[in-house]
Amino acid sequence: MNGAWLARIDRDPRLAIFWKLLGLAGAAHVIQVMAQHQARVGSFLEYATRWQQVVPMGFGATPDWLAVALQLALLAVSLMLVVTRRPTRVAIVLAVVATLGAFVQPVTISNHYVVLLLVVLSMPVVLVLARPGAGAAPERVTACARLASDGYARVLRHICVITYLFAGFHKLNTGWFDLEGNAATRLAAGKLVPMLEPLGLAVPWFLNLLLVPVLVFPVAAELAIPLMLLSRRLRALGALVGIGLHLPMFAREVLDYPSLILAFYVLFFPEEDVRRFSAQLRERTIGKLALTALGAAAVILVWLVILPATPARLTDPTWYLEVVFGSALITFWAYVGVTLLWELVRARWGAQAHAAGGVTHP
Amino acid sequence: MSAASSTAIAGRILIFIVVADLVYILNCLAPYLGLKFENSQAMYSQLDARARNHLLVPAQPLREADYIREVELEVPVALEDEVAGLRWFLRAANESGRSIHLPFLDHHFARICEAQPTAPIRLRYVTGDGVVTRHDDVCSNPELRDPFPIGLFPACDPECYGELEIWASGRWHDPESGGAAP
Repeated sequence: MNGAWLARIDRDPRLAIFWKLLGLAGAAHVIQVMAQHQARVGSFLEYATRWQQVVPMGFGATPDWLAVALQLALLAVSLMLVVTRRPTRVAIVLAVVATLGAFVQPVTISNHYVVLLLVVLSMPVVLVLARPGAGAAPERVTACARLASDGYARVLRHICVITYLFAGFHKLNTGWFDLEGNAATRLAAGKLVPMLEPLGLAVPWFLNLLLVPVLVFPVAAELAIPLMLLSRRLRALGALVGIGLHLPMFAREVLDYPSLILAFYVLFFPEEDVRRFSAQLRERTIGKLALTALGAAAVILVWLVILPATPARLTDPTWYLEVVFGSALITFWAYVGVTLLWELVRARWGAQAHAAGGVTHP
Repeated sequence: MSAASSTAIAGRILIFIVVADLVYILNCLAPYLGLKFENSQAMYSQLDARARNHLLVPAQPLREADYIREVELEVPVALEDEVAGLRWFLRAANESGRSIHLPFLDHHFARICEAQPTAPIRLRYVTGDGVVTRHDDVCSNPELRDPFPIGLFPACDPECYGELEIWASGRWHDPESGGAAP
């Protein structure tokens, strides 16, 4: 494959950030699989043996060493994607590992894995379609690289939009809007009632007032976020709403899906916006850091309160790994959200001040 | 690069995008078409495994017969240990009123039949449309021993991922650690 061509694709700032975020999501997936398997099922080293008693896994009997090796390979390649300067090549390796790994994924968390597979498998197709050919002139190489990176970014945006629209559409069902039957509201009610009882507020109308948004916000957000991300005026706000939707998911020990879907957001912004926002992320003010610490601490505390560690988990190194990695992800996305909010407020404020200035000082 | 060559590449990529979009949309619509449920982005949605409770898409009787209930299994005494986990799972499903996806059981029938039972394995269940069905020799029925490598539908309706984890963990025979006595 033409090295100069791949190097040019690697230099696309949106894709470069996307690959790093995707690497974090891949690592989050494996760490979550390991920690939750250890907590709920048993030793991760007996992963295949335990699950094959219950569900089909691949073609025939998969040995434990192979299932564990595939998960660890997925973790290693994902982490390589975070640090490498040649993400396109590493992503091709990830495509192979993720495809083989599809047969050893837990039945309980398979939806986001399909998104991961679509991402990594569509990339080689785009590369083949936009290849410049052997001995191509430098300007052809540059043009093909631009077509490949723009085309691939478009594929990824479509995957994100379709995922969101269907995630919202599937929730338009009687089970989701059943306050007593919905798992999220049941969990929230279970935590809220003991807190509200001493205040005399554990009455149905007040509880419903608190719980209805738990049902309505996710559906409304999932249907609105893709449309907002596609709109030039609303995409920054859409990204902020998305971070607001997904950050609480981390608190339910769901690290994989939020990290994966949030990775797509960067692809909706033009390159100059991405460069400007990267610079804004490097501007660490006391206010931004304090707000981030507050938000991240709240999510991490809710996580540890909702899912308190059992004595068995306290002796499990994978649980500590999950808490540390999950907390780092929460803090990172909280910081991105705070910076986005900061910039939105500043832009609005700046626009108003400019307009006011225009009136008073024509 | 000539404009024509550039347009040709852009056109090929566009065709791929359209095809990929259609395939992914079909994948996500699959629950309503009765093709499959898993991996269709319906996670945590409370959508019924047969997509019968959607507010906009009318229920289709596409997969009624595949989800069975009141499942009873009769195996030779020598295989009782082999099927102890499965027996716990069937009992838990029957007691909680859950239906079980019949192809999910194929994996288990294939496993049990590999142990070369000395007497026939008998199966009785009620299909989703209420038909009582009996198989007097599961191992002689190739359709019941043909597992697909990946589950396309949830094992139960309503879902039973928690029970599957308890089964895989082996805690099903230990009531104190989350399981229930068989």
